Amino acid sequence: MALPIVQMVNVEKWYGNNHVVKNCNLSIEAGEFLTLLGPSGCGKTTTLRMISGFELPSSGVVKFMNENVEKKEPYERDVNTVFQNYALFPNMNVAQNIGYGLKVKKVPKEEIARRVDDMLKLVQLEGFEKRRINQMSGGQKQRVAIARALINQPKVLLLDEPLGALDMKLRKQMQIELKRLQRKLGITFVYVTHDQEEALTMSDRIAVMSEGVIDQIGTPKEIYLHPKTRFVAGFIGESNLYDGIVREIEGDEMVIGTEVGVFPALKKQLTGGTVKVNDPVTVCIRPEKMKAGITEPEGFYFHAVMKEKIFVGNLTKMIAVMNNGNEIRINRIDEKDLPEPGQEFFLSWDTEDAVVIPSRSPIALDTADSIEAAAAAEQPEET
Amino acid sequence: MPEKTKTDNLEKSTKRRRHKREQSVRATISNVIMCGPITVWSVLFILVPVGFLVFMSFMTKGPLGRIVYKFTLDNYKEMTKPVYFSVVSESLVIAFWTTLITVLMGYPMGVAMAKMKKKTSGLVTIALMLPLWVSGLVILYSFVIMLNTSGTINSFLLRIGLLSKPLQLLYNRFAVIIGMVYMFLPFAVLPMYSSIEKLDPALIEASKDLGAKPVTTFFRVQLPLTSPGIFAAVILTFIPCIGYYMVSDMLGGGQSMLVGNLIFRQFTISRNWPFGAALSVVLAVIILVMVKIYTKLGGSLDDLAA
Repeated sequence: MALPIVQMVNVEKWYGNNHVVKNCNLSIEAGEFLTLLGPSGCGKTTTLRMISGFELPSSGVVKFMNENVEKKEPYERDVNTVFQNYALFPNMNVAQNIGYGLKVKKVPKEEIARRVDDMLKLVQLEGFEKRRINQMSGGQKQRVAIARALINQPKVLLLDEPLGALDMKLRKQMQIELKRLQRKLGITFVYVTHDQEEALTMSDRIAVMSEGVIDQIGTPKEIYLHPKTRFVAGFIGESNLYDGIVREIEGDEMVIGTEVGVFPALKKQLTGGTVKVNDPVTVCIRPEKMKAGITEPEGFYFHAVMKEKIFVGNLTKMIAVMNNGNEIRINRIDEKDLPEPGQEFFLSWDTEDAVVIPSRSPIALDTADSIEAAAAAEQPEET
Repeated sequence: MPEKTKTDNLEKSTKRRRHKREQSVRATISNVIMCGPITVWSVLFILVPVGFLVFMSFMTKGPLGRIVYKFTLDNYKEMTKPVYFSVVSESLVIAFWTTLITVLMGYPMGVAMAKMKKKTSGLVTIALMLPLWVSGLVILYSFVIMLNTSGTINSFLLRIGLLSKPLQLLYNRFAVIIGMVYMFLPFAVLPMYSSIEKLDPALIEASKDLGAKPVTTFFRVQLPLTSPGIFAAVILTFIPCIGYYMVSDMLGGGQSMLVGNLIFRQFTISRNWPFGAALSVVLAVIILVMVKIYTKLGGSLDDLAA
């Protein structure tokens, strides 16, 4: 594989006693669209700022093309940033803002003018050269900020929640435009966001961060279908998560005991490590994989009662309650053959669709109790 | 039926109009009550005296400092004499140096304050304002004590052997500028601090990110964006500096006569009130012109009040 364009090796960041980035190891390939995704305060912006040079790592190495840069000033690094609130210079017009990076490098005037024109074309802002920044809309400012950052032809473009201030419709439109731009230019994009949908839409790879740690790096598909930690499973998309323990392992199959009951699972659906009997695990089943049958299905099933049906346009979201009080979320595109609220039904899923995640920490005591209770009360009825 | 609606509508609209009038009358009354006292005050103690000043500047000086109520332009003609030109130019030179030194010293201080924690910068602001709570007279006397030929500075330098005979620190342009800088520094620091503090740090980062070194970033981004604060500081130093007579009176020792001193002298020693009034009017006009230039350049009057 080619040399990664940016590499972070064992990077740590402390603010006083606050450990904001913990042992960060990240390799960014040339030309990829990588997203740092996580809730606010997870260290994703700090990680980005260590790449741009606005923060220095407390320890560890940051490399650009195999050259150590962690001590270099931002103006010495071959990266450019699109800032959260655009950070456009209010004392300059659109063309001056875009040309700033070339002007400070003493590029001849004619060349600046030509390249500013190219950039304006690229972001579809021809004719706006002389506009003041305060006369531009949010979406237009966004384009100026992107053009300003791209004119230096950086190897890596860093984007710090650039679409956060835009309304929903514009944001969706800009997501697609950004992705298109990245493909066209072939520049590496490192994108920071807390919006999982945005990350899934645009990224080649996503690094999910939580409390200063990168939990998982992978393609959107990998991350959605095979979350390696409970946090990733809960943060990306909707999910039904059940803590439990491995009761039996036999060949390719396992039996998992959880708070909702005992059911079989497949060993190939195990993510993030190996397990032994009695190891704690979390089972993740996506709401769209849940089956709500009016007739008795083959294989295992549980009894549940439909509680609520919510129509949200493209989906019908349902909340059902199992006999032991656990709530289950079910999503369906069509409303055919679905139980009505109040109606009892058979809840099941394909074993293929249940992802088993080994837990890092031992199971909580009250959870363990409810697992025992569930196992005793409701044996899965096998055919 | 339509007739009836018509009259109904007419009635409604007159009612509405009456209601509107009542409301506006009530608003006017409350406005008058709220603004009344300050209006009376302004008219009595600002507008009338200024009007009288302008009026007096066109009157003739009588014997023994009396005012003879006879129209004349002599007071204004008098000012074109070269001796008064030198007074004005000396005033401008001192105001210029004072402003330059104050802004050059005040801006870095504003930068430092903007970097402090809110609590610390609040304490520094109080420390900065502290000298203003002491009478100017006391401050200037302490400068006299310090700068005297037998004063603190000279005796210290003599004792450690750096000097063989005392330096003339007092009663010259240097002493006046030192005193002026001391008096106006707080007024210059605060507007600059407030505009530096308002500057979005992301703009500085953006400049560095785009490849600008710190010096370039300062001149291309920070300085232009904090210029309203610098303008305000210039105005707040330069203008009062021209008219402030106490400093040059006490530290200049009559060696440097400023416009302020000249006016003061007309109303006291020379007892030529009409000429003093004319000088005041001209000074006021110069100041108004400068404020106009300031606002033309994009400065806001609110910044001056800060």
